[in-house]
Amino acid sequence: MADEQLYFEDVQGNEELSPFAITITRTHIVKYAGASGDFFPIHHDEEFAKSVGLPSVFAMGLMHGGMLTRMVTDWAGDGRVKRYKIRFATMVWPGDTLTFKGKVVKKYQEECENLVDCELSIVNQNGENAITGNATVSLPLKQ
Amino acid sequence: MGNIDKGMIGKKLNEFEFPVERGKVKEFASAICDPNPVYQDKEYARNRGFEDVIAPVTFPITSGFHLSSDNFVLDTALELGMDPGKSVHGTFEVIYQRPMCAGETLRGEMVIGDIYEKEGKRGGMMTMVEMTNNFYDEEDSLVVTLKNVFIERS
Repeated sequence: MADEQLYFEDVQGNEELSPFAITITRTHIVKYAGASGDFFPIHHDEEFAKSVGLPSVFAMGLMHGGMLTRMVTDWAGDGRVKRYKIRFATMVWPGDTLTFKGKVVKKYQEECENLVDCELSIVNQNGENAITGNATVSLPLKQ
Repeated sequence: MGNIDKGMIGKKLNEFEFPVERGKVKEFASAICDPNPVYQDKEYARNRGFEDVIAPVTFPITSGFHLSSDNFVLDTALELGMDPGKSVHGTFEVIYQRPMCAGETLRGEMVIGDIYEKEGKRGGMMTMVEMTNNFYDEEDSLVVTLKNVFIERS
């Protein structure tokens, strides 16, 4: 929801994006199941999850992987993402508090585009990575 | 490893229509806790130069609703000879040529990408299977590519 457009010239080489935190509930997971179409029972059916030896349901990686995109789009502006890639690491359980983080790692021009690469991560309350990833955004110049 | 059929590399699996619907975009944005009006308010989006509300970055994953069956990805994994009990979703990647707008209907093509082995960090071989979805607009221009890599541990 960037009210003022970010320009390429204004990006700092090692700028940190504004972090935020979300404590995950079963409601987040069920809501994302319906929105995304991921109805694998291991994510919403507690009895099924326990029957396969898990302590409870756990979140789809793309749920928090989707929540993470706001960090980039709030900063870079709407419709600026060229590429977004995430790797799934540790599982996310109801009650986990996730911290969403990002920073600029590279700023360059390529094929008449002004590109910025960011490194992203989602870390749980124990300091474990739930997701690591990166994004490339294309930004306008001031003139 | 061993059992995964590399003859499937490059095979086109499915072609389907993916309508980008405003209500679905709003529902998805809400589910990822993103209150940005560009995903909900047509006027706001139009004032920013878009035809209609745009879709959040990971929205193409909802194209799964338009596949021929609910279990399409699982069935494909089985057809490839993967063992679902040993397989995990490794990475998700989306590459945009331009944002997707509500109101357009994209043509999706699902293709098996590369299949290759890699040594795991804790030893043992892993087989990586790429599944790619390309989405084209009404002019047949590529809009977005979605790549998933599934990993089977030996």
